[in-house]
Amino acid sequence: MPKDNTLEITEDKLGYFVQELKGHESAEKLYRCIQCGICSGSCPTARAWEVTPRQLVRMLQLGLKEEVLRTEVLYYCSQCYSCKVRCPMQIQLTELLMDLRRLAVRDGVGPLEEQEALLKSIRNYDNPWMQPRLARDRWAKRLRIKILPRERAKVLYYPGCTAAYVTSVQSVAVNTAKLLSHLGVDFGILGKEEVCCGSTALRIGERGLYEELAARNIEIFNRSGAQTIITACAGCYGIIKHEYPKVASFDAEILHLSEFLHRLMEEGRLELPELSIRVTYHDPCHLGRHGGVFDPPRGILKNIPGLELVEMERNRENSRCCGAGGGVRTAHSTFAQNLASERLEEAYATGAEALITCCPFCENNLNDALKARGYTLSILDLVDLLAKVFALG
Amino acid sequence: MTGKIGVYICRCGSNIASVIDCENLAEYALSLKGVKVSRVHDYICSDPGQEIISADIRDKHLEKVVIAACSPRMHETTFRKTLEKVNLNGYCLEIANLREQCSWAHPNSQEANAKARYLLSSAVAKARLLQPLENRRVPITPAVLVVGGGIAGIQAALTIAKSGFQVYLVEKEPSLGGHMAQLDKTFPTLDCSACILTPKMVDVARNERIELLTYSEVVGVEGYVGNFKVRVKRKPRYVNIDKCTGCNQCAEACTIRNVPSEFDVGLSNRSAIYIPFPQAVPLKAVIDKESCLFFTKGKCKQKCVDACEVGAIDFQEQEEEIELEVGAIILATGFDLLHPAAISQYGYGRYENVITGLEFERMASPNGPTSGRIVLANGKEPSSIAFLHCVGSRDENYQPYCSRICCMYNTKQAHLAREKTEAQIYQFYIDMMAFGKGYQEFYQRVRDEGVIFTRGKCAEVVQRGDKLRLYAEDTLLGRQLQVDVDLVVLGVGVVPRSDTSYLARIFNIPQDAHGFFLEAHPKLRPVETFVDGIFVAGCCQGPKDITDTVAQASAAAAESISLISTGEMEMDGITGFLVTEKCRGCGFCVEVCPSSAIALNEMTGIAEIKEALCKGCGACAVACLGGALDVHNYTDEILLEQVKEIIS
Ligand SMILES: Cc1cc2nc3c(=O)[nH]c(=O)nc-3n(C[C@H](O)[C@H](O)[C@H](O)COP(=O)(O)OP(=O)(O)OC[C@H]3O[C@@H](n4cnc5c(N)ncnc54)[C@H](O)[C@@H]3O)c2cc1C
Repeated sequence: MPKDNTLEITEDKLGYFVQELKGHESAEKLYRCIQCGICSGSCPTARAWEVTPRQLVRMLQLGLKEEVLRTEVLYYCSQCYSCKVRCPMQIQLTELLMDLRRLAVRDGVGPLEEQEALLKSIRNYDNPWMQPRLARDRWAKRLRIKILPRERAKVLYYPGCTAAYVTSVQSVAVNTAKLLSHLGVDFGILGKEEVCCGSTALRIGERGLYEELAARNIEIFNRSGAQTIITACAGCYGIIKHEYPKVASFDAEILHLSEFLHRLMEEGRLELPELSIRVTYHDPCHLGRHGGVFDPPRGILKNIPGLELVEMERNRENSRCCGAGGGVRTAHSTFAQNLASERLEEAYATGAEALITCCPFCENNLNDALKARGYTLSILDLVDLLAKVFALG
Repeated sequence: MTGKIGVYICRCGSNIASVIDCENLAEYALSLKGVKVSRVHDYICSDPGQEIISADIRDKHLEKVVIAACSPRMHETTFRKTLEKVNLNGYCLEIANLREQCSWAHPNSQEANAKARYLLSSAVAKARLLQPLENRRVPITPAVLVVGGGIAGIQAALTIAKSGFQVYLVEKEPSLGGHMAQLDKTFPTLDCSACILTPKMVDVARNERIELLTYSEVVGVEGYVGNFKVRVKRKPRYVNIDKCTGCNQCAEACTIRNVPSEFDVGLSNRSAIYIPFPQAVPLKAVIDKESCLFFTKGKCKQKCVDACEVGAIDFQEQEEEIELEVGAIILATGFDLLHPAAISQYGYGRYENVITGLEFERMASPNGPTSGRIVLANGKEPSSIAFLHCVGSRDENYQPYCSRICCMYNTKQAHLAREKTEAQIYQFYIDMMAFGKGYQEFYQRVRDEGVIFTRGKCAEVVQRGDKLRLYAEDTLLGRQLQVDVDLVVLGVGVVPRSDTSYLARIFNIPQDAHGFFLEAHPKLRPVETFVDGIFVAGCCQGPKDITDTVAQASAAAAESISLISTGEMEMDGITGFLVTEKCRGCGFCVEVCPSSAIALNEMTGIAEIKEALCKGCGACAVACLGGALDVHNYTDEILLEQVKEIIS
């Protein structure tokens, strides 16, 4: 018997997703979709999806629950926001994916096995890297940094789990702290009290866990008395800036390190020594498209005497995702590395000696791909480059 | 002088009667002071209905009439005429709005019936004090100003001139023509644009009834329908237009040769003294002051002066301002194209082989920078071309509306590219808007020619080696798609001219949500604006093709002709009036009057109303501290009488 492929539309199903996502901004403009497909055309991962992002929207309109709530449909999105910034109808597809994953998790469909382990680690240790809570500030041991709220400081540096725990990118945390001290900034960290920002949990559909983490962080942010929170992680930044305020309010201003430094520079408080190097800059999705920060990192780079910045073909809001985000690197590591590899190709074509970025997660993923590629290109976080410039060693 | 009053209550089918007890109301009417007759009718506006009123006026010698029916906007004029036919002054009429303000607003309530009584009694109170008035007659200046010399303005000007009236055609640029002059062939018939436009441009220049003012702009408008006074600034050309023969010798002699040509959208260069294009009307040279060495550096060999055999060049020419008097105005200022650099993913401005539709049009044109050849930046012929639809249109991030012409011009250009090159051609569209007569057939024809139409909005254009790689979804297959091409043509959308708000302020007309001039009604008054006597035509009112532009321009011409051909205009008799003894000359009224109808007389120092300008709005009556100003039939006395009637 050939399979009967008729699409049967029933009125009781039609409103399913609108009902389920009621009150969520992501579903507000769902029915405006004109099926132009720019989302799918822009998507770095859609080649792997069982249906295209555009088709997904159509299926949502028709309430095709069983066909939508499947890991083959929902769990390749790297949460890069390319679809959202280009959508002519301003449908919030990236947020929609987060919300759909929430429904998938609720119904026991998601997340993927590898992501389960991640969540378990967050639940048990407040970080996705299966590391003990007590080790969270080990990177800071020899640096003599104030610990808030016990001590007081105007600025709170929030390194996030990856820079705090993952040895290959721990230099981001260390160098940020060194740089801030070098510049005479009155700052501190939360020490062992800091918990995961929850970005990973939210993006793979564990909203409950995310909200718990967000609430804990916000509580301690408020208690810390800091006026400014700085992070050097694009993922933490995007979530704290745009999603935290939906959970609870906090008084401090959140800045990405590059924004903070750019301000100092504009106030004439950051004199950059010379470094002769040709670099290209990779916009992390969660700093750029999600966070809206494109110019500050470039502004800093361009102010380093002797440094030449060459842009990749795709840059700023058109920057291509490294492929790591949204749980993709965790669950589909080879796929994530293929995407990183494509991005490296663009970087390599610029003739730059180094690729600079502002996200430890991008850095990690791109670095893995680099090994496979064998390009002569170094990948550096902006703050690591600055540590070099200032010879903070 | 109360006068005998007749009251006529309309059931309006069931529109009023289903809520208001009309018979009861009629009985109540008889209890009101002055009412001699009171009747109910199904449709009082009908001929038999009006006949009843006429008969009563005749037989019962009525002096005032009160009608309780629909809004006066519907039938005030109808009933005024009814009165006048039997020699009663039309202003002896008062209408109580029982429909829009009562039965429709309060369907089925007791309160509606109570309100009906208030409305009726106050109308009767007013009727008791109404004064007969006369309509004003104002002469109309039998001439029309057309602003903008694109196809819309040209068409309107020629139509009006044909009917025997004087036209002033003001064009900002040195030549007529607008965008249509820049096009190669036109969809759907593939007529050569210049071939059908040039004869019309020449007709304008030759027509005795059209005064063509190129290189000119409107800087001020005063007056009102039938009697506008318009100030026009004439920019100096620095070339005596009566002497210049259009021989182009000056341009060839000029030492500055690298000014990007406006006509060729920067694809070619012109000199500082130039003739915009070979078919320009008028075919006269003009000096661009910004580039001419004589003006920028103060010294120049003046080779143009040597080259000009008729001595037409005149560096001393000054800007001039002239005043025109016209009865009607047509705005036909056209459109701009969206600048696609803002849509960064398409790489316009970054990749030299990403061009706009208008640039393609110039390339395709035999009189264009490549003499009609479609070439890449390196001069080679492309082996593949992609046309992108909806670039900035139907997009909330840029312009939410459909620009209406791009689907068809993209399709036309695909055809031209097929004709002129061997290239493989792709179209990336969302929905094909082939709405006009012959358009679907044309689209079908281009499909038959082998153009690949891909349903999917192009996501981005990325340079890959010497090719441009396009990313999209083939939405018909539900698969991501990549294709490498040589040339990308952006079907950019239509946007309002950058100076639209400035013009809207000068002419005092509103703009729509997107910035285009707003028509008075989208269906039934498509060429009128909210200012009487000012009309719109062409793309300044919204995106449209040449077909619709010409149709709208003809309509605007017809409307202006019908306005000015009467020679005289009748205006409502309800105006403000001044009790001179009470005026202290403070001038508050002058400030508040929106029609500039009041001035302080320099001799007497007190206010003076220019009746012809007064619209009877009553702003002055409110502002006047001494109670010297009032409006006929809306006097304080009448309003107080109405209020008294309601609260008694
Ligand atoms: C690439 C392209 C291809 C096209 N192809 C076709 C086609 O094949 N078939 C078709 O039917 N349509 C086509 N069109 C559409 C066509 O160009 C328009 O319908 C037409 O030009 C509209 O005429 P218009 O007079 O309203 O505006 P415009 O052509 O813009 O003319 C307006 C005129 O007013 C003048 N002006 C502006 N402001 C002022 C001012 N303040 N004072 C005085 N003068 C002023 C301007 O200088 C200009 O001369 C195409 C359009 C484009 C962009």
